[in-house]
Amino acid sequence: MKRHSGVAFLSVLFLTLIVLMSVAVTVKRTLQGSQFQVQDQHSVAAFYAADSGVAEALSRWQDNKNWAPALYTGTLNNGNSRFEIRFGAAHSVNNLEGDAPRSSYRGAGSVPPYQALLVVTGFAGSRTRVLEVMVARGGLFPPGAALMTQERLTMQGDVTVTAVRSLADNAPQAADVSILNDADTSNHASWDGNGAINVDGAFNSNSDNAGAIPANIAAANVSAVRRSQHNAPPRNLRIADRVSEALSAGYPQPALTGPSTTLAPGNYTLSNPGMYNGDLVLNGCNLYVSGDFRLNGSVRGNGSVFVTGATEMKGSAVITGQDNAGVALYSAGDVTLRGFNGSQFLSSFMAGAGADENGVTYSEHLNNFRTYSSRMLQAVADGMSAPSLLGNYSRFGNTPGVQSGSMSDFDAWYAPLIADIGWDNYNNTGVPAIRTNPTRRLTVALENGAASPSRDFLLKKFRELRPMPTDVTTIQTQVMHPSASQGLLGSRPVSSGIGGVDLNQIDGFVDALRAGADNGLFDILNDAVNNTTLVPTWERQQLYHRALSTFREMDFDRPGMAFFQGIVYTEGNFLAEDELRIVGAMYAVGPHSRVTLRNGIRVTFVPELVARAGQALGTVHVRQWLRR
Amino acid sequence: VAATLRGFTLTEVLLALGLITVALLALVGVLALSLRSSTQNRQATQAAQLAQQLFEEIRREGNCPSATVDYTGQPAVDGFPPAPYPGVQVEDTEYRLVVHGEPVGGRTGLYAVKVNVLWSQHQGQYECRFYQP
Repeated sequence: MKRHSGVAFLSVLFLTLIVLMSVAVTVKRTLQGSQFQVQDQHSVAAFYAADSGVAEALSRWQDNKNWAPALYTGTLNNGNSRFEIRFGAAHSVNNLEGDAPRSSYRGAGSVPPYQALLVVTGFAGSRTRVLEVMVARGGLFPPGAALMTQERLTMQGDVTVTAVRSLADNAPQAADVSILNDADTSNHASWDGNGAINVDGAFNSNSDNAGAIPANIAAANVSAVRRSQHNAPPRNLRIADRVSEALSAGYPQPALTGPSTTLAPGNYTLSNPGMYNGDLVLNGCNLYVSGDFRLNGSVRGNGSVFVTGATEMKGSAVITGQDNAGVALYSAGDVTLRGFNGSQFLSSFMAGAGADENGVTYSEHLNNFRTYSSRMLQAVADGMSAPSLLGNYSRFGNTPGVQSGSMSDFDAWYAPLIADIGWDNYNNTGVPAIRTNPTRRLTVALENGAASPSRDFLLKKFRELRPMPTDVTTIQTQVMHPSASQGLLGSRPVSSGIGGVDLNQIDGFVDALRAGADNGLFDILNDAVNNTTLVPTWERQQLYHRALSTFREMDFDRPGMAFFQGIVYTEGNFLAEDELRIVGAMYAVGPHSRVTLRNGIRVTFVPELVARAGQALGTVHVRQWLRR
Repeated sequence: VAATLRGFTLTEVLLALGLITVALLALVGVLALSLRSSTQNRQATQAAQLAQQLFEEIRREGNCPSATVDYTGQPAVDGFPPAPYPGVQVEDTEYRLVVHGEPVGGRTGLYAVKVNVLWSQHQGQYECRFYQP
């Protein structure tokens, strides 16, 4: 029986052991649970630490595109978490300023131009989290939207919306018009039926209503009409906050005086500036304006303008064929952009100018200018690509005379437009000598006319075009001069070889030509075409593309057309009127914003310009999360 | 009574009862602790999720305050702080969020947002920075 009592005792012990084991297991699981929970918390903290590192890098790049320290660290949450960013072959790679792909640990050429690979490691407790992103420049505005309005679009007269890939690449792109009004009502857009509508893209409406886009617009030359879209406006740009911050920062207040004011790179503020009678040229700067900003002139160049009130300005006489040129105008109030009826003025002016020394009326020269320039552009459009143009030597290098067979079609239409040809029927074009070079003759007529704002505007424009010298011999002498320093492009940047040319040099060169007394846009094209100088082919092709891009944006049928080059973003209404060409895009996206286009408005949407718009804004952004 | 039919002695019974009582008490105590710990873990996880939710909402809305501001329960201004500020009840627990937002000095478009999630006798602190040009 001793054996029986022993069994009972063992049973009790065994039972107790089981209970204690349960206790131990529960304790262990509880401790593990707490441990996991703490690790989970650390994991969250590490994630947001890494995320904060991404934000920090974007901010750094906003100020300095070349930011790439070997090691950068930051702490958060009272030192409980931190992040690390390393740059190097095995880590992040900054290519934001590069125009060629760079390699990274992800492979050869894995970081495209104007982008950066960013790897950020977050730490908290024992946990680490790694985030990896591809960062790009631009991205504030929706791609493909040339014109966006919140509530309504009103069109009166001709409206043309086209798109090119960039100012250096005229490949056609889609250019959509988007109306964000989603109310189930009709007539969110209207057109008075005068002139024509041409849109190289779709007319989009967020409304479900079939009548939101009226039938006369749908029947116009529009690629498509879509309703029930879900287009979203660009995000709020906090214009008032930005201006307020700029005022607090004490940025200098420039004096806007004289016919033109150029602002050097930097930040500036203006408080209730009133009306400025002159042009404003931004040279890579940001201007913050508190109150209304009204210019009896234009804004051009490269930079951003923030206005808390209404904005009013005129189109410029000149346009720039540079990819990185463009004004970003951000206005909290209404925006009004005006051209002026230059074509009508020009016709009237030339009719009143009478005839030249040969008895040819200036009205006829004006018609010839339109005809020759249209033919010239058509010849280019018909396939006179840069390589074929550049491949032909000595167009002007031969002895003056009819050189049919050595002159291309391009020359046939090009030369009479800008050069005084000394003989009739030049290259079988049928152009009499006294009717050649309408560009120069019209410029002379304008110079001899009475000064007025309109005349000055047009004179500026024709001087920008610049006719060639007055005879072919002079052209030959200048183009064929053996020394590049004394040729037509005396101040040109001569590189040591192909590929050794800085694009900025080309831009500066183009600007110098335009500002110069003897040359102009036609000259640039001529120089780009002629292979008779020391400029290497690559460089001349750059010149050719830029000059040609500028050409194409100029409406020779309407030589009085004004330009605005850049982005318009407004939280109020937007009005564009009177022969104005907007090279860029426009967004009127306040809660009740409306857009009105009146009397000959052309929009050329330039995606690259839009992508790079607004140097003061988020020109760097996360393009793609690679690890998150 | 024959020896073979003899029961447990009082000492044996008391010892067995004592052992089992101690073990069971330990088990009950541990179970209670575990239950409480589990609840706290769940609440802490929930608090972290609320902070995450708020951060993601800020990222989506892009409306960080331009000045240093403490939000301790007043109504949101211009959508900031976003939901679930100022608080939310999940199951039987009331969570209250205290938000602190400030621009990071010397940095363009960089903002720091700190969220303190309070519940019962506990709190969780979280911080994230946002780039909003």
